[in-house]
Amino acid sequence: MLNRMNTPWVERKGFSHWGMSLLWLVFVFLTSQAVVLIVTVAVLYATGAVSTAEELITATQTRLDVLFIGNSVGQIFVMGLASLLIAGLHTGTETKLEFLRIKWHNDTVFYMVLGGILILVIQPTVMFLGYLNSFLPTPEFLEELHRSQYQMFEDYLSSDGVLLIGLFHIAVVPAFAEEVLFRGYVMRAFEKSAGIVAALIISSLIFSLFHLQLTNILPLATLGAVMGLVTWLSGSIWPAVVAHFVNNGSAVIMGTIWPDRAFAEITPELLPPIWILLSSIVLSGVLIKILYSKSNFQLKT
Amino acid sequence: MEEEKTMGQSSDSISIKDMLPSATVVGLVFSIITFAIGLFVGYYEISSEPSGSFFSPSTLSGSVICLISLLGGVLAVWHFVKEVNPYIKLGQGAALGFLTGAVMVILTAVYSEIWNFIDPDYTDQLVEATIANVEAMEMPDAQKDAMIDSMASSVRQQNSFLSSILWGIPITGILNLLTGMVGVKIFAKKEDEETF
Repeated sequence: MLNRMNTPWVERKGFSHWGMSLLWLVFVFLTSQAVVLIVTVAVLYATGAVSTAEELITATQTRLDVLFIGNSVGQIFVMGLASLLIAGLHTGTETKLEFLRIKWHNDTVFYMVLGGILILVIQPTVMFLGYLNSFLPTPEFLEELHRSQYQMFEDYLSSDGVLLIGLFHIAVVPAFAEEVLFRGYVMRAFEKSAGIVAALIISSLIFSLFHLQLTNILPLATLGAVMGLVTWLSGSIWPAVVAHFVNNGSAVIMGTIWPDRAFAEITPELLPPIWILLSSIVLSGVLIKILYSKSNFQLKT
Repeated sequence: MEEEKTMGQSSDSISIKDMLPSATVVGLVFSIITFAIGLFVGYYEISSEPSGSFFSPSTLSGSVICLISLLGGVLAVWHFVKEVNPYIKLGQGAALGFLTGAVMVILTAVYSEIWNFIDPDYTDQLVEATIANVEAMEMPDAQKDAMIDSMASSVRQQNSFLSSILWGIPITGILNLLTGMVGVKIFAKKEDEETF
């Protein structure tokens, strides 16, 4: 009886950890869209911004501030809190927080600092990967989707006094919610089924695909892999939360101050010089090596 | 005798290989049924006058086909419980349901390709019938044009091998995964009296 209680629910019921995490991702994807819609409509009606169906349709395309509120609510409740609950199905003797690696070690601050620096250092490489990505064939409708997403961010960030609230919606909320879902839940579930290497590769690919930006798949997967690696080496998701915040936060600041440059299509002229690219690759490698050598072997296994 | 047959069987030993016969048999039966319904309704639409209604026979047949194919997961579990192992777990039922949905989609796509050889004009005629139906609708021209474009590409997509597999396997697979779990709750025997 005791042995059975120590076995995770997913195993007792004949599920695989990875299969359950994929199912959860489908649920999260669909539900978070529904939450965005419900919250947006509720806020628009509650504030008296719309009163007819026609006004509502127009407002869902123009009131980006409300759309971002809906998106944040969806991320917090579905990606973050609901993933925290669903993690309970995968735990045996460990707690949900331990499973998701929401824990603090003595060296967590060290990893947070280095993780943040690593994300900044790797940016030129990520830009270059974005350029390489543009050579991959992509269906027209996905390119259009990507363009409209960027246009939405550009329009939102060009509003007056949006920096702090933009940082909250685009940097703070995703840093917590997406890290709990991807590095906490998905990566751990795949790690239990297939080991850490497969978990790192698959979770970073899922992370990039989840953003519906096939035109950005290489940079997003690279960032996902880096944040996954930092999580694994530190045994905590907090360094990845910081790294994610630094990445999105710097994009928000760039988008607010230099929108023309931040949202421009990457061309060879906009790419950083080769020496910066090489320095970025070498420095990123050095930082990863430092993180690896400082890592506790017990955590790695 | 029945007791002897099931004695010693455990859900722990069930593998994907064990599930394949049930998934194939049920997937085969359901793919034939759904393809036949789709084909029948398709030819009915081609030969009939455009109604100008949003609810064309093919729209309704799409819902009927979807509902019928949902039974695949339940029946695959029923078949598995009857023929292979009565002690199937919830997750194994989910996997069996997904597999059945995938088999159904792949076989339907194969039949569709074969039918394109038998009647190469079928897809074009269906697209024309769909366009004629939209043109008979009472709505502004701009809206009509947009609808024609989207419906024509949707019909072509449904009849394209790669696209029907790419979209069909996740959607039909997940729906049957859910009904596979329902099948476990209805048909599977419990190894012990464990509750959640």
